[in-house]
Amino acid sequence: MQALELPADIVLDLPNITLLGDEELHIAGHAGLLEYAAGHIKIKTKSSSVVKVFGSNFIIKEIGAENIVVSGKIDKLGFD
Amino acid sequence: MLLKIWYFLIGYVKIEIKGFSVERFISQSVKDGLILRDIKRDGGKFFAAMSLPVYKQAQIISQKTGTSLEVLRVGGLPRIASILKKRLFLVGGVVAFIAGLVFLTSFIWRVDISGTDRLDNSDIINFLEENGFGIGHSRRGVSYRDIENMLLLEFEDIAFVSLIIKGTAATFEIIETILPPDEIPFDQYVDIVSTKDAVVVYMAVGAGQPMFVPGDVVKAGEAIVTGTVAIGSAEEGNLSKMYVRADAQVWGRVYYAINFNIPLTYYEKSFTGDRVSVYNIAIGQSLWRLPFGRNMDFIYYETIENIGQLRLGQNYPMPFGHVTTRIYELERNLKSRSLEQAQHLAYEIITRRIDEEIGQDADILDKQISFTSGENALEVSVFLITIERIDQMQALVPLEPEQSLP
Repeated sequence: MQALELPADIVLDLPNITLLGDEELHIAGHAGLLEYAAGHIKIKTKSSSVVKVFGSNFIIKEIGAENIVVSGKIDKLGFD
Repeated sequence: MLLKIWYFLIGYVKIEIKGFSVERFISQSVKDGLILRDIKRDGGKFFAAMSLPVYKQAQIISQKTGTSLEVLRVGGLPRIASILKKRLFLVGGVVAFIAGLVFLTSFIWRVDISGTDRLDNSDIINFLEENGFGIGHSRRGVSYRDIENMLLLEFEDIAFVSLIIKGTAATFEIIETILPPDEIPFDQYVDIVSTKDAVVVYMAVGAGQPMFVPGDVVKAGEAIVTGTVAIGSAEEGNLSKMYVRADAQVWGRVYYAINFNIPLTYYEKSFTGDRVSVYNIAIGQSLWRLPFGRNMDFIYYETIENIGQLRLGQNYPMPFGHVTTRIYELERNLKSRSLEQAQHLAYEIITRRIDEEIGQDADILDKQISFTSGENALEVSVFLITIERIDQMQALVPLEPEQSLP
């Protein structure tokens, strides 16, 4: 794959995660919302990993079949 | 922004999601192709928004996931349309109003003229109206060039005119012709006449026959140097005349007497603070007074008129508006001034009148001012002696060339 220079997010179905400062998180390739608590949000990805977002004042601005956009004060990002 | 417009067009619903498995509802909705927006957690409550067409599908998913949905607000165009369906007269009225406004924008409702000094704007406006252009006339099919040419042909004082129509307002920008200097043609015979009653002090004659010498008294309008020149001799019987363009510079001693009174009592006006407002609705050229406000019973007053024209944006004045007249009551207070104050005022008036009545190039030889206390007034007499130019050219109409002078 590296030799062919193919994008990993397409070939391995990895999520494409974009963080805009500490205010907005875009995930392309999610597989659903697992938990929405006051201090954290857990989002399942298509590669079966879980993205954990810690912070406050979360608003899911948009969630569709492919993309999810989370805004708020993001303190920490982790994977399970 | 485009997304918001799209949601407005298809309609949207804001809901509260109740139950213990809100995340499951969200995930299932996403799996089923729904798009949820603005999901917010407020304590134990969850709020979200979705488009109106998918709300029924969301209700089915909520039943499957053990949650329930409560509609908080429905918005967007479908909601507005459903409300308006019940109010057809309102919709009809709004449509008729908009159609009326659009119709009215096809006419000229304001004509402005700028750049005129000698010309009277009302003459131009009246001429334009007589020729089919003005307030209330259609602005469609207007030939700018024809109107401009029409004005150029009618008014000799217009050197350039530009018509600009923006919306329902027409603006004429006019440049007036420059007047030729007020001079007598060079081939015209002239006399030199006196502009004032004066004593001739000095004369420098270039052409013509002097009628006076220094020391003579001359009346205003009398020829000091005539362009009719006698040639020959009466004794020899060959006296005849010829005409020339007289040329002379004449200085004279001029006497001025200025008399006026300064009253020692006078009325000073001041506002009482009371006012009456009169409100009018303007439709076209007509005014309709609104039945508000009290009647005016002031004896002394000043009025300020405020005219407002309804506009659709900057360029679309409409034939409606309002005219508000505010009438402010005045009171007259009898005041008195001392002799010293009256004299001070008199000096100001004298200075102003000398500037107005005496030529700029006049030299004041003597100025005598006397004050006399009259009955409730200060009588002021000013006597001035000046030296100034008194010559002026005046066209000469020749008699028959062969006619001999008596």
